[in-house]
Order: sequence, then structure tokens, then C-alpha cells
Amino acid sequence: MTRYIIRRLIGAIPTLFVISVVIYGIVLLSPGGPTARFEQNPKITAAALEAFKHRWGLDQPWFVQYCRWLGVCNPDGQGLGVFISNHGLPNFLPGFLGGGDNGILHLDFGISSTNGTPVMDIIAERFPRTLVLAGTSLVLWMVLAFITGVTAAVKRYTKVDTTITVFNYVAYSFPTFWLGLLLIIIFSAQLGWFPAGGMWDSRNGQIFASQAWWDALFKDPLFTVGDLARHLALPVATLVAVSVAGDSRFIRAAMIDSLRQDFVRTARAKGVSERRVVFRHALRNALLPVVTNIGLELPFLFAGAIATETVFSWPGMGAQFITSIGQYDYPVVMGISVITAVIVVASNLLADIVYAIVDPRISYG
Amino acid sequence: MAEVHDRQALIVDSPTALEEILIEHPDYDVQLESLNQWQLSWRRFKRHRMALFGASLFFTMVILGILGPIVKPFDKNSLVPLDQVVNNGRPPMLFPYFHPFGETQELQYDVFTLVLNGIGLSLLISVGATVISTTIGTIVGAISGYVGGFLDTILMRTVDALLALPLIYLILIASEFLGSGNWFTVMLIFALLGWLQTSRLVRSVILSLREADYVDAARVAGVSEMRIIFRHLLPNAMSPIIVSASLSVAGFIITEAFVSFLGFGVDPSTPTLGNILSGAQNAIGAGNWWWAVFPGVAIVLIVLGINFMGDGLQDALDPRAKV
Repeated sequence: MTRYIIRRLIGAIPTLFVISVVIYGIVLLSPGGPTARFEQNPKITAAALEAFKHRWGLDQPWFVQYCRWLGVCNPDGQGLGVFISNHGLPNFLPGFLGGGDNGILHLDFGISSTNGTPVMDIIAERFPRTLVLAGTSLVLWMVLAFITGVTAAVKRYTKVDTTITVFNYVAYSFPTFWLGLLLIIIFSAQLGWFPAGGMWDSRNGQIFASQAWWDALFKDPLFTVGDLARHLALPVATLVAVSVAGDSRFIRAAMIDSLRQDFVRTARAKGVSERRVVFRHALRNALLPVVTNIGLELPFLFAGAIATETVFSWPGMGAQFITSIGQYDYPVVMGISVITAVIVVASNLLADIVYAIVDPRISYG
Repeated sequence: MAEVHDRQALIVDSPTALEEILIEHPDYDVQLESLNQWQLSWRRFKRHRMALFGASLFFTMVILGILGPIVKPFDKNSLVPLDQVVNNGRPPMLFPYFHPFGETQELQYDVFTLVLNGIGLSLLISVGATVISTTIGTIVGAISGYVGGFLDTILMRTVDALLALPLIYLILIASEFLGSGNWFTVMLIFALLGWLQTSRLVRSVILSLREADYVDAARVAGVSEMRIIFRHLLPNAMSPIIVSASLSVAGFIITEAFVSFLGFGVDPSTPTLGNILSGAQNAIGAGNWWWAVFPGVAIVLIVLGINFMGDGLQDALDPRAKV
């Protein structure tokens, strides 16, 4: 088992390498490049432009730039010494082992070209907010998917099953962002029940996870949590409605498959109660494919979060990604892409490993 | 049992019916109906009620998309006369002004005209992107699956890596940074990033077909590799490819809408379903809901139609399914 996990971990390295090349490549190919924002400015002299390019290493060949961005090359090194950090050890090692401190391998994504903040700070601020939204949705959507999927499978070919199936089809066909707009129209613009966007009340609320927010949480937990919940309601409803459909269908299929097995018939023949047959015998075995599916679905959660975050102006990572693309803020765009890719690869890996642990029939050398 | 007239040649559609008639009337001239794969598939598809409904929904939208721009062409300079301008645009009305879907807010275009033109352009982009991406994905997947070995490892590693990032990330970055604007560029970007999943699918199908006896037979007979791939393997892999292509049209419709909604897609003055929606968001607060609702309904109808149709296709194209 340990060997399998190690093998999979090593196998993920080339994947991540290719992603980094692709992300870097798209930015490299884009016309203009990082200096495009100044080049039209008459106050910027050619000398200043050259100095800027030299300062940030933009005058280097692309492979040197990529190597530095990756963190394998040391920007201070000369000749073959570029691979050696200032501590005299290979640069790609982590900082505390004597490696360098530049590049994505050392979690240095550069600084935002719009406001000069380190990209890591922006991500550290935005990520928890996306986690709140995506996490809440994921939990709710799994619960709902299980309830509807199992119900549909147990009551197969009845009116209940048909209703769930039709609902799934329709929800599956909704573009996430448009469903968000619809909910805003109904519950915010017309009924006024929920705020149309944002994550905290701009008059009485505090910026999420700031010091003032924690203080407010201890002073008046009901208001602070309630405020967050009110803002969460519509975006979570959007994400859940669109995502529950696929899983519900998947769980229904897995359950039907499982209910058809011999051990279920044996259990029924022994006189086990129907409830126990469904939950203890069939569902436990149907869980296997579902576990893997959750891991593989994480990219959709992130893609869905982009759409919901923009529509509901949720100040998370997806909204930041869209803003940064619009502002041609390359370091932030690249940073968020890399972080997302790492999370997705890690969760796929985790799903595989969990599958291997949960399913006793599979043995991995 | 079919009504049998004396001595007349009779065609029945199932072996059981043939047997029944021949047992009772051994002298009749009865034949088993001979249908090719596509006719059989069509017969199965016709029995699938939801699929028929989905297909008619989708093709209605296609016809609307083709005829709409001809009947009600969109002209971005056709502004409402100043004395007819109302706050927030008119709500849906048939009389005295014909605006079945209402008017947009500032420039007060007719939403009905916008939606008709949007359906056409959005479908053009999605179907075009699907045709190109499916072709690329099929070729890459087939070669990767058939040749195997090092080439397969490299190709599939790359595909895996690209799919680790949500596709929408790459599409958004490419649309904004690599330049977009006209529908053709947007379509190409979709197509060049959209083949990944198809290639994985085709590869897995080819991998299982590669070991079939008829492929061995072809190889023994000295058929060239390329001919084996394109004449022996691919025709048998057709059904999953068709199903995935039909679903990918739906995917591209939603992607186009989202990319344009964010302003990274087709030039905002051309009506695609996403472009129409991108302005609508700001009008909602002022009470103009129709601008955001009707283009979205068009998207949902197209996607719903395709999803229903795809399900029916999956069953109909399965050669092992019963008629």
C-alpha cells in the first residue's frame, strides 16, 4: 500500500510539470506580455523599460525565465551555477533544506502587477472564502445527491423516481451563472429575502476572517454567522442545484447495480429488514464508485465556483481569477491556476488511494 | 400476427414473428426484414419517447437559429426613436409594440430579435467547435490507443495534465490573452482545447477493440495500419463518439455563454446568447428581468434537448441492444 501511494505521488510530478509548462506557455504566447501596460505610456522612456525588464529578468531567454519561475534556477546564479541556491545546494530543494526561495516550488508566485501585493498573500486571503462557499455546497450537495439517488433507486420506475430524474435532467441543463441570475431576480430583486451579492453586510458586517470579524464573532455570534449564512444562501443554492443532478444520477445507477447483486438477494432471503438491506448491504457497496467520483468532480466544483463567485460578487479565488484576467495580471492568474491544478491533482490522488483502501478486492503491489 | 394475403410476399421485423407465420403457413413467402445498423438504430431511437422529444426540441432550436437571423436580422444601429424610449426598456408585450420578450435597458433592442440571432451564432460556434474538436480527439485517441507504447504514454500524460486544470480556466485565459473578438477565433479556441476528453474516450474504446479477432484477421491479411485504424476500428467506435459529440455541443453552448457573459468571448456588439446576458446582469436591480430570462431559457432548451437526445442515442446506437 505504501509503495502504491509513493508510486502515485511520483507519477503526479510529470502531470504537474506539464501543467506548469502549459500555464507558462499561454502567458508567454500572449501578445504584449507583462510590459504591455507601460509601453503606450509616453512618460516611460526606452531606458526605463529596459531597466524594468532587467530588474524582473524579462530580458532573459524564455527557458531561463521559466526555470526561475519554477524555482529550479536561482536568479542570482551565473552559468551552471543557476541551479545552485545561495546556500550552495540544489535550488529546487525547500528553503529549510538549503534550497532557494524563488519560484512556485517555494510558493513564491511573484507579485501582482496591478497593486504590488505578493500573489501568495492574495491567494491566502481569497482561498478561505472560496473554501467556505465550495465546502458548504459540497457537503449539502453530497447529502442531497445521496437522498435523491438512493430514493430514486429504491423506488425505481415509480412517480418519485420519474420526478427526481426529470428534475435532474432539467437542473443539469442550467448554466450555473444563469441560474444564479434567476435566483437573484426572484429572491433578491423581487422578494428581497437575500442579498444579491457579497459575503458580508457592508454596513454592519466585517470583512470575513479579519481581526474585526473574529471579534464580532465572539461578541455577537448569532448576527455574524447569520450574516454569513444569508449571503451564502443564494450562491450555495445555485452550486448545489446544478451539481446535485450529475451525482444523483450516478448514485442511482450505482445503487441499482448494487441492489441487483446476489448478496442483496441472500440478505432478503434471510429475512433482513428492507431498511437494513438498503442501507447496510446495498449502499455500502454502492459507495465505492461514488467515492472515486467525488475526487474526480473537484474540477467542476472550482469551475462552478468561478461562475457563482462572479454572479454573486463573492470575493473568493474564482472572482479574483476573472478580475485578474481582465486586468492582464499575469502573476495572479498563473498563481491561481497553479494552486487549483495542485488541489485537483491532489484530490484525484486521494480519491484513488481511498478507493484502494476501501475496496478489499483490489490489491496494489 | 400480421394480416397475410394469399401468396403475397410478406416482410416481418422479428425472427419470432417469422417463425410463427411459418409454423402456421409453411407455404407462405415470408422474409425477415433486413435492416442495416443505422436503420436499426433509428428504429430503437424512435421508441425512446424522451429522446424524440429532445431531438425535436434541439432541431426546433436549430431551425430557429437558421431562420431567425433571416426573418429578424439584428442591426446594432437600429435604435429606438428618442420619443419612444422608456425607463428600463419595455416589458414583454405584443401590442402596441411587438416585443414578445421585451426590450433591453439602455439601447432598447428587441430581446426577441437578439435571442433569435444569438441562438444562430451560439449554435454555429458550438457545432463548429464540436466538429473540429471531435475530429482532433478521434484521431489523437485512435492513434494513441492503437499504436500504444511510448507515444501513447506521452499523449495521454499530456491530456491528463491538461484536464487536471478545469477546462474553463484554460479557455478563459486563452480567450482573453490570445485574443478573441470574432466568433471564428472563439470557436477555434474552444475546438483546440475541447478535444481532450474525446481523445481519452476514443483511446479507451480503441484499446478494447484492438484485441478483437477481426483486427487480427485484417492484420494477417496484410491490411495497412492506417486502414485498420480508419476502416476497421473507428467505424466500430462510432457510437460513443457520436454520443459524446452531441453532449459536447451542449457543453460548448454553456461555455460560450459563460465566456461571453464575462466579456472574454465574441465582440460584445454581436449577439450570442452569452453576450446578450452579459449586459442583463446590471439591469436586474432596476426591475428589467426579461432581458436576463429569455436568452437563458433559449440556452436551457437547447441543452435540455441535447441531453435528452444524447441519452436516446446512447441506447439506440448500442448494437447489442434489442430492437
